[in-house]
Amino acid sequence: MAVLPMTRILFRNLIQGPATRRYPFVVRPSFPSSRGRITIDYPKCIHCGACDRRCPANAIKVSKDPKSWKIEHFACVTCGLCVKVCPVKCLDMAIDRPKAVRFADLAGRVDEHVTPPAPAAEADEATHA
Amino acid sequence: MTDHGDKDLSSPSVIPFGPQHPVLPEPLHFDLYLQDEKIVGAVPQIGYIHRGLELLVEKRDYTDYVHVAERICGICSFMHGMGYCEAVEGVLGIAVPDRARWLRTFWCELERAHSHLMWLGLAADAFGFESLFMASWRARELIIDVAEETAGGRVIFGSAIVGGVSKDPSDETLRRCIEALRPARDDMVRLARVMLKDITVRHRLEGVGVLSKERAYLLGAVGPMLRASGHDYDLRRRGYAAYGEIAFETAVETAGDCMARAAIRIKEIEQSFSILEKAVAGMPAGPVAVPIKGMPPVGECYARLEQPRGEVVYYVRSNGSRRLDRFRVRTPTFANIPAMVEAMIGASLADVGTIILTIDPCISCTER
Repeated sequence: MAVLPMTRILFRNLIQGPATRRYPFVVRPSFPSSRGRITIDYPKCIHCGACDRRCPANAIKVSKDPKSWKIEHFACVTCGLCVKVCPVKCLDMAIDRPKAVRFADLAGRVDEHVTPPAPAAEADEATHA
Repeated sequence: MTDHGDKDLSSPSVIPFGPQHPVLPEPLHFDLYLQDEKIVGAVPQIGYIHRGLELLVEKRDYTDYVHVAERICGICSFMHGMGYCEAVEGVLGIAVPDRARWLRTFWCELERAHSHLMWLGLAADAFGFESLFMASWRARELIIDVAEETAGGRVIFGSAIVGGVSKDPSDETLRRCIEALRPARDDMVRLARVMLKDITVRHRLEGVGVLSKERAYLLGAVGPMLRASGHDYDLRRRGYAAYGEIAFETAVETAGDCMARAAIRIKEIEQSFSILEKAVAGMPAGPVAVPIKGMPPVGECYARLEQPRGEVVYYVRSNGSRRLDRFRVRTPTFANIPAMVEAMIGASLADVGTIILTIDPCISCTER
């Protein structure tokens, strides 16, 4: 039986310093193959809704009328299925992840794109975010 | 605490244990029957985190469900996805390309190593060895980084798909990953010495929660629980994925106590590292997936794998449409619960946490 075999590891730890990062200030870079945030090239989107139907987490909402596409990043499980099924290949997966935000701060959590109605229509308040 | 409804002082007192308890990583409840400090009976109860994932198979396309199957458990995620894929591939009657089989083996062993290192930390924490807990989780972090570099995800690998795998890391990346794992492997040698030789650890684990060879077999224990009681039984020898082409030895102990179960897992971590090296060295070239088209035929299939916690069984039944009829998982923790109750009988109350931790319970898997 050994007595205090852990002490050697503890001394190494003292010399090596902390193994953790100061997260919001120091972010570990992602790998080129990391699965991260879903991004969209919105002008190419045809609003077919394939991503909406196949999303296992129901994070994507697509509407045909009015034309809009919306993803809730913190509901997304980054499976990449939407990227795979998109018929016009307008979806892509970035390697970085959404940063931690305050719960009340919706801006960091939802990515919404809305097509403004055709010029003939009266309603003009819809914006392209 | 005494049972106030009973005046007889010789009757056992009942102590509720869990579902919230410092040693428990997941909710699991026990009614412990105690005679003085000795446990004379234990009634387990689960059912706190049921999510109904099996039913979702009727609502998702059969090729998409693998993403749900992976989320049955956060620790053996790849194996759950892969087990589902193997069962569906059995229904479809397709063979997976060679490189996909070898990559699956690579990721399985990566998962086994990080699961056992996580267990080592949690077990150390359960008997109050916090610095060992932190040291083992630091080593685990390197493995998780390799998982992200090769599969894309830290915990949910997301690389198993029906017909193969979705990611194809280059041979150079895989070799670099083996190099990146070397510090974890060196750390493991030191941590193994602490876990197996330290006098304080041995006092907590040796002779505690003994499960005899006969009882382990009769109660249907699986995985390290069964191997620690002297049974040489490892499903990897069935040769699924590429295990049939990689030589490895099954770790077997005979004592059947908590120390034997710890020793099994520590041997398996070392063995996982060596299988990882062999898998990278022998990785064949070629495609990583076969295309899957159309509906699956009517049929059913079982798939069995060796998870870090033991044998897991997947059952899939197809009705010929894109939505499968039934998906069923028999998880290793479920199989180990009767053996865990048996191991508790005769132990003292202070050892209950250690005994529960040495079966490495995964309640999320068990309840799905």
